[in-house]
Amino acid sequence: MVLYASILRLEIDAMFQTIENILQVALAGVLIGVLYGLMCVGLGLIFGVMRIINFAQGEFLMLGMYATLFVGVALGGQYAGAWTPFVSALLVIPLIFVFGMLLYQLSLDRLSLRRELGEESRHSAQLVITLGISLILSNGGLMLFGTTPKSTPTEFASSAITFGPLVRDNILLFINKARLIAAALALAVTVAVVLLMNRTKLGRSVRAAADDVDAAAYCGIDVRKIYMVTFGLGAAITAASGGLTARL
Amino acid sequence: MLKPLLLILALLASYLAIAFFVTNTYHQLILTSIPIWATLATGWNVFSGYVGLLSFGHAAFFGLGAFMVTLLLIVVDVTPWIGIPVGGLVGAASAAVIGLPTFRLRGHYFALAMVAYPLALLYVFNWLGLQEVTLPLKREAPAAYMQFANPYIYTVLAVALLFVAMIVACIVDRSRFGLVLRAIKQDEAAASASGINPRGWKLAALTISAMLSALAGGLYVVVLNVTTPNEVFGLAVSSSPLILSMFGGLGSIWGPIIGAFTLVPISETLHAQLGAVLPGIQGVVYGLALMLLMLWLPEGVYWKLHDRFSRLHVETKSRSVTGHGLPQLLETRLKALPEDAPALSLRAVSCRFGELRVLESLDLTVEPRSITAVVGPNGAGKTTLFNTINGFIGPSEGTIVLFGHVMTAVPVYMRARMGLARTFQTPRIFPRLTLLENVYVSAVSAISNVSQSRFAASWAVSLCDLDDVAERPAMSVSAVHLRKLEIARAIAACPTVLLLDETLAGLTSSEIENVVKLVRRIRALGITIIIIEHTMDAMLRLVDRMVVLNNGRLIADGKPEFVVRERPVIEAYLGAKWAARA
Repeated sequence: MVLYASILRLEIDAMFQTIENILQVALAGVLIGVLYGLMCVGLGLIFGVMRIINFAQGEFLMLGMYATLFVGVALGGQYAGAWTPFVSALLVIPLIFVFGMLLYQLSLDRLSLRRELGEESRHSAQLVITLGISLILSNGGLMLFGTTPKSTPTEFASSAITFGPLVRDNILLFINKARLIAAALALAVTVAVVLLMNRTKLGRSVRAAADDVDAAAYCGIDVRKIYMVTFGLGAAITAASGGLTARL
Repeated sequence: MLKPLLLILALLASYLAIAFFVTNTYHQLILTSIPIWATLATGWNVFSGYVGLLSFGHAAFFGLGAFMVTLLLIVVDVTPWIGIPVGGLVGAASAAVIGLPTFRLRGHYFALAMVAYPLALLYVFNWLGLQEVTLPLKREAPAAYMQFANPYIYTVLAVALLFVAMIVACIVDRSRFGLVLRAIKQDEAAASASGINPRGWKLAALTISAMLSALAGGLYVVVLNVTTPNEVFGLAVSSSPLILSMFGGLGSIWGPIIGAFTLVPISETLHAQLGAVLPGIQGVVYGLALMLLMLWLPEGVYWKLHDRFSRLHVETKSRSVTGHGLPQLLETRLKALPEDAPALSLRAVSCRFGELRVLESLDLTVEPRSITAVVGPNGAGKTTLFNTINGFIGPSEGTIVLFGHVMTAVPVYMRARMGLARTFQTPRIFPRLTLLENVYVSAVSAISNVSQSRFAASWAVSLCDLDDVAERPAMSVSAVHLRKLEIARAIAACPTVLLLDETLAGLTSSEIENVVKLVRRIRALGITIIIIEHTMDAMLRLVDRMVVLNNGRLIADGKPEFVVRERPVIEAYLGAKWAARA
């Protein structure tokens, strides 16, 4: 009888262990998923509005990571406090926003003038141009930053919040503080983008341009400017998600 | 056909002659890789360049070709001389497997979905434990296993493969196959209404394209002697034919060649010269060159040259029409029509989009050799009626019968081939094809005999008074020509029933007179016509019968002069107030 009870006990323990593992993994998945989601917001903006498949998306991510690193160093590195990497990831947004707009102005915008090409050849050309941008950024990154992995250390990375035990003394969940902060910030940025798109005049213009370029232009929207802003915004958001992902 | 072939032959021969004097092994390898990449790009272009669906997944075919050769040699000891063609066939077969589900997607979504296939295969081959496979040396009979000490022989083989690929591309470009693909690229719906089965043609193009890509992959692995899944299934392989073809110019046989023969040497030289000094610089330079060139020549090098060149030589082609009278097919079709069956009958046809009822249990029977007008206010369901008859929209209920054949489940292009032709409210033409080519596309899908379909096309063009503009691209002619072009395209398919959707809209009165006469001529041939129209006075003179639709229901039917006096008709058009005064 006692033996049965202890075997049962063991099985229940094992079950709780499994549940704990599943919950732990799910939680980690949600936290990283929020960051990936932010990255997709950047991609979705550019593709959804401009219908350009942006091959340089990964490079924007990389740029965001390095920009976060350098801004962090400029702020005083980890001596400036555990929040430095997060603050610098957010500071990267205006930086890459301007960079993205410049990049758009110098390259893709030139094609939007050439209406005689027809949409199809214009899109093909734009596609090759983003491939070119991707090659330049990734190889330029290789030249400038080298191949050694860098990190943006923060004390939060080594501390965790614990939840539980949830059922008697079983199911104890750990949440890494750095991940939690990163996910919270990513969520905040996502919400800010949603508000920007739904509540502001700029957002309405962007959505109008996404729906129908010509109709938007007839309504007095400067579509080329909207495209420039969208491209900058998409790049900046992607970069921010890169910066927030970097320490994970 | 002969001229470009000789040009290709001369160019490739001089390439081989130059390559003969290259002694450096590394340079010889570059000279071998250029035609291989050119073959891949040519294969890619046969599909993506002509059909207009960009594929990011041709590494799937390239890699399958490569691994087929490798595995055949290692596992069953089959020489690459057999392995490469087998690999080509496997590539072609895989195109069917990949194409059928993926053709459901359009545009960007197709492009992105194609990325998945090589990536999936990459993981499968890694999982199979084929991370790095070296081809075994066959010392006893190297030539029998395609192993040569002299690298120049590989260059010869690569050039030979490119020659084959270019011949295939040339055939596609010059034949009606290429014409049909271009038509699909420019307007898929209009193409299927002309009797073209877009899926079938796309699949054929992808199969050829995949086969060429797989052949290139097979030779690639033989030249390098070693293969890894990353190298043949990687994104670099998928994007290279795209870059090369777009740089050179999509949809021409020369585009991929120009791309490969300029970009491959540039990138290889940069890699060799600068890669050692400053890793990454070659990518930056290459990327910059790509960007600048695309900004300068967004349509690709070939089309820029082509425009320069063709402005000097305006082609004056003389069209030779052989044969008299009607196209054979039209004559047989009209003769074979059953005497007693109605041309078209709809039985209780309903059409709903969710809550919206566009057609409500419509019954309509149209007599053969008659002209019937379908009129009604905007939103009455007239165009939906045509879309239902021609198959763009499946009816929610009811059956559609054409000369005794139930058509309800027949796809659009088959209905077109069974003798149902239509025009569109806003002309849906293939803008970059000439008028004659526009018409020919539709004749080709109806008539298998080449000279017969040529004749049908020129017959239709003449019938519609388009002879003097026949060689001009469709985007450059006036509205009335476009209307007539649509009619010409419709009748070139030798229809027994013709649906005309607002053919007279937006024309001046003399132009209307002109088109009305044309419609009479077509009816006189024995073709049944149904026409949607708002121009009442023209209809009164033209049609035998008028049916009036309002809110998806038939509210009047009969001789036009009586129908226009009926109360519900006036009510529908002008409102109850006017009906009271009438």
